[in-house]
Amino acid sequence: MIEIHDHISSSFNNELSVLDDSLIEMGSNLEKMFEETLLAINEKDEALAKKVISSDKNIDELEISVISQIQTLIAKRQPVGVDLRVLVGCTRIAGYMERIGDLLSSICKRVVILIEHSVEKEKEELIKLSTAVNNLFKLSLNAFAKKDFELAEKVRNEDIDIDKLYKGFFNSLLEKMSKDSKLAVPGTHMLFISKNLERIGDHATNVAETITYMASGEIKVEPRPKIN
Amino acid sequence: MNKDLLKKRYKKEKRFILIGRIAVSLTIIFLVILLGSILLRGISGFYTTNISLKTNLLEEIIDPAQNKNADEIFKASWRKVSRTAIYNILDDYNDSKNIEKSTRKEKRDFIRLFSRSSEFYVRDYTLKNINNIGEVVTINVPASSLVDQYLKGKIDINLDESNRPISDAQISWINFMVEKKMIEKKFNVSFFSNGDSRNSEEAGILGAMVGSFLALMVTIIAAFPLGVMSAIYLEEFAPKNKFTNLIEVNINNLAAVPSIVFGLLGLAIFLNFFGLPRSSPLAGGLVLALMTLPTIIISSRVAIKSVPPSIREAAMGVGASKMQSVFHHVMPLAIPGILTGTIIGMARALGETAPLLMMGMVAFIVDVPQSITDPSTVLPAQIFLWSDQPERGFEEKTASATIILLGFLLTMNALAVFLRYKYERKW
Amino acid sequence: MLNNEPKIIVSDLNVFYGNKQAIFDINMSINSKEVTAFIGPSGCGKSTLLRCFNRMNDLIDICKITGNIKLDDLEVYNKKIDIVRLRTRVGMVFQKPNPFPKSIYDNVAYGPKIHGMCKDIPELDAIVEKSLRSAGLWDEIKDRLHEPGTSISGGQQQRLCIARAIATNPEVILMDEPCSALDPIATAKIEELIDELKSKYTIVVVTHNMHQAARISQRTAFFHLGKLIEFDETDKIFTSPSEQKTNDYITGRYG
Repeated sequence: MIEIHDHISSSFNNELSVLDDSLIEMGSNLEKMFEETLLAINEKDEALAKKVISSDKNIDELEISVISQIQTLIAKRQPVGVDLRVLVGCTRIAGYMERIGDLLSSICKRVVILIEHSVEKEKEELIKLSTAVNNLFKLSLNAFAKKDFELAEKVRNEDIDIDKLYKGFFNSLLEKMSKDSKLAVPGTHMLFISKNLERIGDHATNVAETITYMASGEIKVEPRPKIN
Repeated sequence: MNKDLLKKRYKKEKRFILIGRIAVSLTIIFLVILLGSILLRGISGFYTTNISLKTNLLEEIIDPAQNKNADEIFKASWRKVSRTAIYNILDDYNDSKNIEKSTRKEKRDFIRLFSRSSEFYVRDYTLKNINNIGEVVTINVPASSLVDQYLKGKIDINLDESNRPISDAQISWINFMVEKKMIEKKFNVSFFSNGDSRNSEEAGILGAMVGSFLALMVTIIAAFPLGVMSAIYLEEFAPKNKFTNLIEVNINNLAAVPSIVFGLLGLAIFLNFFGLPRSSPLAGGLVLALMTLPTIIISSRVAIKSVPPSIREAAMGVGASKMQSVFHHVMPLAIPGILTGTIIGMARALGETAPLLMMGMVAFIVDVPQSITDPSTVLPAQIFLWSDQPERGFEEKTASATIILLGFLLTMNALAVFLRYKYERKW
Repeated sequence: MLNNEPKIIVSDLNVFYGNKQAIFDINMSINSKEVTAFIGPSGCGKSTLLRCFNRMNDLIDICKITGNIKLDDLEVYNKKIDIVRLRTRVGMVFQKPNPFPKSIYDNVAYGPKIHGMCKDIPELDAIVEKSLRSAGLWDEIKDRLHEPGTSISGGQQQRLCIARAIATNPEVILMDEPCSALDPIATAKIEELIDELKSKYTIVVVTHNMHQAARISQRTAFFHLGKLIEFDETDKIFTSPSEQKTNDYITGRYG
């Protein structure tokens, strides 16, 4: 547990709480966006996909607000120790979350196109991958909300499963595409979607690693387990 | 680092410490010698020799009318009574040595062994024990200072008889009385209860002490309020300009003026112009007040100045007026310093002689003063007077009175040091 | 958030010590129920200006001022005003804690007593307790009210001085480097106290520690050589000041 609410100055505690709330709001907005993306893929819901795309603007605004808050906090409070790591960490997490938002938005743009094609069987694999990434993302958000770095460690280790899934999907789809020329267009979009999902998984893990950094000051040097 | 230089520095330091120690030791030695010699000479003055006189209180002489009337008894012929008793002792002596009779000269010499006011002691005893008239009683009368000094070993008996104040006959009489246990040494209460006297065995310092006390009372009442108020005004309220600087310089100079100048001033103004009674504690006290005023003003100013400005600022910040700030906050903190300075000023005033001598406090005054306008003398003046007397007894009394004076001065200074120690604040 | 009414308005203020001018043409207004910080290098006049608000500069003979200071509608430098009354409306806390060498109770009670603010002892007791509570000191010393004010720690003494200033029910509290003689924990407690007090009092703090100004104030005024260089919301001053001199000072590019 990283404790950030126990300074003598209650106004400092309040400011940190507001920052925390902003990031958690970003996180829950992203969660919602992810749910809606999954639904859009499943139900072929174009309206929902368009909603996700416009929600990204909200995420961008939140990121700007978070950065501005952090800037003021650093100017006013000259934080050191865990406070400094928390603020530096939050800057990075805001960045990762903003990119997750962008990636979700980009996925939804491709979903709109995919709707015209019928690729039910392949979509199943995609949905499996998406669900796994969603779960990983939820886990890392939880770890942030609770400032629980043991949970964060767990996230880091599960990223390897995402990689396996992605590699599996990528290879099998490529094979299918080489056999069936009709799959060329939807297949390519699905490849990009899967790549975006894999990137989202990476960023979720980055968030988890940042939490560990906040707690211990350790910047992970050894690369996390990956499959090539 | 140059080793030689370092060595030189250490040597210099050691030399300095050594010189300091020598200086302190010399001071202590001189103090010890001074105080010791005074003590040695004066301690004996605190006890005196009495002779027990078997007296026949003959009713025919004392109270022929048998009225037991105090006034008439007072006027009786006491000299006869006491002389009779005294000659009885001589007769006893003659009997023991198988001497027929004493010559008149011998009788006179024998009388000299007793205080000249022996008859009054007999009278006063009788008046207190009026019912003993007609009986033989034993009354303690003081021995003359000759006996007193002899028994205290202050007379050199190795000199020729013609060169010393005490004759061989007197010595043997004294030894006789000692053998018969008629001689008693006791604490000299009369030193503290009597006024001045021509007889050194009876001279006491009560008159001088009361005179000093009254004079100091006048001094305090005159100088303390005036001095402290002046200090408060000069320090807190007066504007800081050339005029006030001039006043400060003048006050500092006044503190260094020789005290005899104050005596002249007192003579001219208090005695000649205002016509105050000469040699009174009132006039003397006022002169001493003038002398002590600069000391009180200066030490009060220092005490007030040493109260840090943060206290005043805090008081003003809370909305206190200047008066409230001075009297509620500054003064309580300055009081210890002011008192210390005042006590030291008073101690100095107690020991001052020169101005009071100019004011005429050198007279021989027997009565203890009852008010501040009665003629009186002060302790240092009394010491001065006694030191002028040739009688050996007065030499001892001078030293004893000096011890008393020193005792007062030491006590007052110790009180000042104690106050300073207890209440001094470390800002 | 920072739209409070002006409490103190300074117009064309110049302050001279004899022939030397210390403060040049100040125009500013201090807002009510806010903490305003004065920062600047040594000798820039911030303490001098502060001490004009409650006329403590009157204690210095050679100090002369021209210009105007208004506390609400009252002209502070009007010859006819009662300075003693002014100082009950504008309290002051000094750099080095300076409790009176009396008991803790008497320290706080002195002001209300001399201004006749209470009729009897129970009322005075109530004022003392309220002030000590507001200063966050009551629980620590409620059993020691009759011990000398100088027997408590430095941080507690400074809080006692704050309680003393509050006891006269002022509208403005001036603080001249209140924490510079205290250790970091005592400083943090005083800063927290200032934050609580601003809901009831207008507070002006002079500090040579600009980081403290950043922490505790809503608006900050930067002074340099007797002139007001910049006066704005604290967040703005410390993230992107408008004046180069301000930027140079806060980034430590000159003392």
